Amino acid sequence: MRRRMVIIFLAPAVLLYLFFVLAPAAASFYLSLFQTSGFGETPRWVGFGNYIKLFSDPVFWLSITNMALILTVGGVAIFGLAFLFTILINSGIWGKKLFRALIFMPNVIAVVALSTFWSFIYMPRYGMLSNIFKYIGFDQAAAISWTAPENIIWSMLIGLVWISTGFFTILILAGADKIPTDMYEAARIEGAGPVQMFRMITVPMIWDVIAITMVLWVIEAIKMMEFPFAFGGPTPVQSLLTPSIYLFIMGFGFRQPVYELGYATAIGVCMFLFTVVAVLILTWATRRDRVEF
Amino acid sequence: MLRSSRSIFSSMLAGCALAVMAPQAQASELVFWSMWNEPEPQAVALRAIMDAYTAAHPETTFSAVWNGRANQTKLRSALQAGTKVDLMDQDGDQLIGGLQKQGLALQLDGLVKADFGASLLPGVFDIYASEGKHYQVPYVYNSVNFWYNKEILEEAGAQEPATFDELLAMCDAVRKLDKYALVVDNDDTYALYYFSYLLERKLGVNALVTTFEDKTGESWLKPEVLKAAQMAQSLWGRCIPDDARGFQYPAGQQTVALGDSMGNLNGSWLPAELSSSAGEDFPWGAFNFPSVEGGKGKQTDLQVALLSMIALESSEHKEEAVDFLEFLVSEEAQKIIVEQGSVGSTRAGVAWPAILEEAYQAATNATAISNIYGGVGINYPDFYTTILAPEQNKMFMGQTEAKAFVEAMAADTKKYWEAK
Repeated sequence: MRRRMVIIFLAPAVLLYLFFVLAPAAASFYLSLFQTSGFGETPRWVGFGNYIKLFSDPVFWLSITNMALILTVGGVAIFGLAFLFTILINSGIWGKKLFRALIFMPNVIAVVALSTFWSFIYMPRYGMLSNIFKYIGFDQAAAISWTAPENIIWSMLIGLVWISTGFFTILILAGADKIPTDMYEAARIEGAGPVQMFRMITVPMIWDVIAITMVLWVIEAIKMMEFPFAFGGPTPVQSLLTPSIYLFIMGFGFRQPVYELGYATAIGVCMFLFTVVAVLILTWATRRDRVEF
Repeated sequence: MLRSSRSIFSSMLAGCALAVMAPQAQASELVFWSMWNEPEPQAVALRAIMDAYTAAHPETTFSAVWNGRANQTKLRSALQAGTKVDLMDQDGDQLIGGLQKQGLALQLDGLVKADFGASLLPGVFDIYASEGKHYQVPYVYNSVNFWYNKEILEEAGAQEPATFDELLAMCDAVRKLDKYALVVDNDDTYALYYFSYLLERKLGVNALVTTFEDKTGESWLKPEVLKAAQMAQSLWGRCIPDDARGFQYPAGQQTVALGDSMGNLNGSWLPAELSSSAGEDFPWGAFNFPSVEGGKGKQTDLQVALLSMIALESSEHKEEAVDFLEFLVSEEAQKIIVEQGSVGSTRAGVAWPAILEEAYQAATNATAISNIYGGVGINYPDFYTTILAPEQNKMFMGQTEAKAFVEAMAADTKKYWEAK
């Protein structure tokens, strides 16, 4: 009886998940085995042809390199800053809520507005950065073209770290807020400083929260599209391509009539596989005995 | 008597029914999906044209869907879902590689008047034809010219250049004012204007396409191609400021509005795009890309980006749709496009807005027209998007040498055709 009830209660959710998630995912994989423009012509079966073509496509590998850069360099910077903000905010400074709100603020602003804001910062000649350097007499630094093709990925990455840090800081702070305060008081009496308390108390006690935030970042980084795309203008330079942007260009006729829907779907399937593999590795690497408190 | 009354009554009833049904059978609502957003002046102009058509043909009404620039992509999904659409518009080059290539556009030959193309500006009706078959009716004319501030040119004491050497001399004159004559934005497409035009001036119209269509890749190694790449690079520091490498669209073109740069090689949409920052009284001038020494291309050859409307092959109102397409480029409709849309007309004899006067003269006197960015993107959009445009941008921005660029293009072109 109990088993039957479980099935009855689970059925709607399972059916919805099957219909709206698993079935489209399976259909996408099937579509990636065809060459089609998506305009209604009969798709041509190519088997794993799209994947073979993809693995010898230098532009795809460039987008993967950019993705890896965002994932690793961006990830280290974001989590480094998130930990730093957690230490500072939990150190008993005045205006904790205000600082928390300020750090989170970029997350409530439209990505296009943020990308415009960062473009103004970097703009040669008239931009904020250029003018600050000119003002303090660093003329050589003022002359740097931060958004020139060879620099633009790094400039974008700085903006991305600034935007993303707040979200992950809030998650880590929320976990840290649940740690009993007597632990910190005891540590303080023993003479521990903020960094020691963070390393010896906060991190072990919220390790599961940190692991989940890292998983969220991995997913976010692999499907990254909005900010680099908006930052790159109407036709982003190739050095800003991520797999998502490349998928969009190849499948949706962006400016040029490239309508390779099967190929674009193969990119999407690869992104899905990357996500699964990366999450599994991360879950394995961050496994620890759970601390109960 | 009764039978005869009944039959008279029946006949009257049938007559009334026919009278009611007849106009209903002829009435049709044309469904139009548009690349414009509803508040844009071009959309307002199209709405006025549709209203004018309905006033002349009360049986035909329109249902418009204002999709914006991704119109063709949105239509792709809608057509798959069985949505009935009669008319749509988009950039002509995008239509060739999209609906036209897929056989979803209605072929117009035999449906429009035999001399239909003659009423349009030179080359307009034929530019998007595939194997001599016409599918599109271009209704907005955009040309690629140098758009510049006349006051700065006058202050520099220079003239509009007719040759590349004169262009460099003009740049030197403007540099004396502590300004640069030209500016660019650093994305992949805008940067291609220079190289593609230089190649067409060297080797003639559509030179970029013909160079690419040599499946051996050897055409890239012609001295003229290398020279065109070197000439494009030579503009930096002399005509174009070095810091423009960092100008993200539209930062570069905004420097023209601010008076820091004199001009920009761009589409004839530039004055409209910059109107809010440059002001209504900005002294716009325009001139064609200059000729080059010993080149086959003429200074009067023009790169264009026309906007077209098509009727869908699946339309259930083909006759009405084609009739509307003809009306769209009539003198009456094109005057509405010019006045309300503030854009160039494709019809011969319909003057463009005053601000585009020089572009109108260039279009009227064009000895040949070719597609924007050299046209490779039309039939080979994958190569254009993933290889040509990014590699050319690297060359133009100085990340690779001109020689390395042409050699890479030769190798990539050969590889592309071998894989086909």
